Amino acid sequence: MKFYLFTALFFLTGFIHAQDASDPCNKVIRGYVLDAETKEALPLAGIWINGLEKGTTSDEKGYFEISGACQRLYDVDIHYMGYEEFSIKINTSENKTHQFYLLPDSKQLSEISVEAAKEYRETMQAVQSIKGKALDMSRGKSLGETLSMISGVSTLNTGATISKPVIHGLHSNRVLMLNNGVRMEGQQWGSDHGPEIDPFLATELTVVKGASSVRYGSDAIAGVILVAPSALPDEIGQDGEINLVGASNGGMGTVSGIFQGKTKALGGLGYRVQGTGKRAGNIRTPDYFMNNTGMRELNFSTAIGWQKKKYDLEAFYSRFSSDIGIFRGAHIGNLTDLRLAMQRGIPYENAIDGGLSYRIERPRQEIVHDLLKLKAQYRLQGVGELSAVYAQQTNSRQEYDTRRGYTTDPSRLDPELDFSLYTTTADLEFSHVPIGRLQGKAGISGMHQANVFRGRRLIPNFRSYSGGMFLIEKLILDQWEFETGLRYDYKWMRTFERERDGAISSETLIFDNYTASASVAFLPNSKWKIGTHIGKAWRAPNISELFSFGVHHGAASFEIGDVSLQSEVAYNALVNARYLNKNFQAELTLYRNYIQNFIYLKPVFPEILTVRGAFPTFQYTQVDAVFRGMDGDIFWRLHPKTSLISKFSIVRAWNLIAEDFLVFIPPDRTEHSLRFDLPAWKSLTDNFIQVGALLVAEQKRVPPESDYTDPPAAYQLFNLAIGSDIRLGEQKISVGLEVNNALNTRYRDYLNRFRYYADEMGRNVMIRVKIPF
Amino acid sequence: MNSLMNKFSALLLATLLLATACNRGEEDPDGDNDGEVITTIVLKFTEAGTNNTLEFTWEDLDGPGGNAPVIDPIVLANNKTYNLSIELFDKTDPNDIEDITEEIEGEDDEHQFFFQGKAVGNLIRIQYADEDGDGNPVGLKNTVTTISTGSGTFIITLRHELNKNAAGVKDGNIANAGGDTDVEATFQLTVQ
Repeated sequence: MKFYLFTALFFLTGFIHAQDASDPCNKVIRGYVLDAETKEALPLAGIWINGLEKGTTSDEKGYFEISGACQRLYDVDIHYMGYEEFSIKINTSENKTHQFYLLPDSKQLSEISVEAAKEYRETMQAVQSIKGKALDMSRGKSLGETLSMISGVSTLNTGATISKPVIHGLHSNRVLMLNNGVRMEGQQWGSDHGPEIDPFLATELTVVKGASSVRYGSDAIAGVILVAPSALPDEIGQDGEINLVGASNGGMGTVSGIFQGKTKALGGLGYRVQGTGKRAGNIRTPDYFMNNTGMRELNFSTAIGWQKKKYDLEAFYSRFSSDIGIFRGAHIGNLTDLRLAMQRGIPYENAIDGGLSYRIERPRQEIVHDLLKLKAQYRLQGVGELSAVYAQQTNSRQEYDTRRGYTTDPSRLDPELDFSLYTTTADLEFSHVPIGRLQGKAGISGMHQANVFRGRRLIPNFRSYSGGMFLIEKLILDQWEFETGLRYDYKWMRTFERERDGAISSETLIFDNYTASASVAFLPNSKWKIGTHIGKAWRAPNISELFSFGVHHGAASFEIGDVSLQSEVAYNALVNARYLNKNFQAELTLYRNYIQNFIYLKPVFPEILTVRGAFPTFQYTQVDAVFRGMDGDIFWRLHPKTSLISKFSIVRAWNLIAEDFLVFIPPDRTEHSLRFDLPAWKSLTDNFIQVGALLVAEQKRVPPESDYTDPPAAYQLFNLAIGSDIRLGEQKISVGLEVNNALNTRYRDYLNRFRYYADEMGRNVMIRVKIPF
Repeated sequence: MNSLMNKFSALLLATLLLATACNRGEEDPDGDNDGEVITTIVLKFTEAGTNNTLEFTWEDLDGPGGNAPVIDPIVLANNKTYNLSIELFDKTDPNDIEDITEEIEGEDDEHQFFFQGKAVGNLIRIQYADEDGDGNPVGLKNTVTTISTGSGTFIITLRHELNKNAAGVKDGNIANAGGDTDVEATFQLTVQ
């Protein structure tokens, strides 16, 4: 169909120039195709000029130009998947750059993403995004919780305040996170180390499922999470938004604001300032409060940039800071205590008698993450586009344990674990202008890291240098798309540890890998897309897997690293089928991930004896493992005002060496929602009510002797959401009410490290207000 | 705008040089700094009415992992009453031995020792012989009476920030105490 043919014109449309003025049909119709609500660009929108019988597609900024128009009135049709058809009459005598605002097909608010030519799309993998109204409905939730709205994504939790995304059963160092295009580097090896990104800085959250190392390098074994703000404003003017969120459980309050604009001054400078403040107190299960589970967060980001015809420049800075209390009843000493806690079923009285307090005491975590990004993009006509990104980030994480008693020694106020990680990255990428039907890009990237650790012995200091280079080529035919890529990565690391006698011991490690990928997609018409993707991904063992030697308090375990661990190499095969039509959309992903040298913690005996008693002891070991599974999404408009949204995901993970299941794999889950669109009433529009249920099965596939207790029972949670847009004069305010765990169900989740000690959060009523201006 | 590009490039270059030139001190690591290690537990059994003291030690000088703890077997005489005192030390730095017992005395209302194992009740009877500011037991000083010959485990547990008012805790029953376990040392106790 025309729609897909025009993809090949992607790079060329930007370079069409106006013709000689003496030719009467020398008019150019140009404009931007934008989302009426978010004002964001709609790339690859189909534009057709009736009468001129010419069409094109918009570029990644929503911009298009069609030349050769004569001096007359034309009927212009613009279409974009997920939006209402747009028609307008244009008089070419007004020689201006138009702006066309398309309304999202408001009844089609599914979380299934829409075709868009963003960078990640070029890898043709199974991709899903959360943006627009769906993202608005998730405001106030942590990044991990928000992402779990996507099928195939669940969370690994430490209580209710720390939530890490799990893609296809894999997490931590097997999921790469990008903050505005920059690799997030922190102590992400820790299962109780949550991602240090403010979801409010994003207008789109994307999950790319499957091996993505060719494009992004190490760690992209299960997939990549992209947290992306929108491009800086392109028109002179200012706008912004204020978001307010309140939640009953924990008495949580969040305020977030964004102010952005473009000024004619300083050469047409675009700018944005954004900030979020969040405060929450002790959370409550259906039966009791959990002492010391409050948290505070203060985040800030700013960006400035220039967007010119030949080049773009951008500078971006973000700061994330949070203070998280760790549940008093989870800071258990040793195996005896752990067994006692599990037998009790309910924490000790002095861990649950605190009421709704906002005080955060020891044990607690304090995290600050700073990120600076500088980007320059240069377009060479007829050759391609060159982009250079430089980023500097600092991750500072302090963990404070409970302290024994009275002391005047000031050093005792120090954190028990003090991590500082400094990362510098530089990326250079070149996308060449299409050669016939062939599009592609090549890139080179480098990273320097310095890790400084202080406190109770856990991981050493290190310095590392990594580099990578890749090439990806894509062939776009009428109904078929082919893509292949190749990459080489190299990592050099030297560690520094001070031994008891004062000497410094040092290890030097080198990891290098080739990765490759191939994808094929079949798009017979605008409704269907069937694709298959095969890729090889890798990751270097993380510092904890290599060098851990000590008690991990939160987990009541003694963990031993292995410096001889090799890189994990994953071979991933994925099939993705998508069907899109006005009233029914479905997507299904099937995958098989064979991971060689899969690193996991294997119990070893005898247990290590310390002054606190015996601790179960684990050794980081490598095996070969296979992860297989299926994710599905359905959006079905049963009736003009009623829709059904369903998702499910299944993961099976097998240890090929032990010939048994792997431990801590998410159980099967399915989620169903029924959405009723209500008619507008007075100044209330876009009204809806949504009721939903989440069903999580019991994880029965666990190897024996692998865990302190059996996985928890299956559970069902019910949710309710109501939303509306209120028009007060010129101002529109969006409000939403959400009730999670509406029936106050008592339950425990297998992937919550606190399930040994306490139940999950009870009912939570959230109110959201969004005020755009 | 060339001048803009030039300014930006200059800024970029400067930041790049500045950042990569920074040494973060990773080559000069601090040593293991665990402020809360207890390496040594000393049990002193003094025969009531005499100056005869039997001393038994639980010691793990290199901390968790490494060499296993060295645990003295406890040998007591039957039908005798002893005053048992417990002392705790951090001997990680032999030149600067920290007396942890003092710290526990300083916050005695937040600490309590518990005694369990086969030996308790079968070979010996043990009773608290000290009090904190609230009149609750601590367990740094105890009275031990040997009642029968034999051998069995003697487990000493120190709880911190426990609930001394929960049922049974004042009598030495650990079940409802809660708090954090700072010490859990198992000795082999023989009464001859």
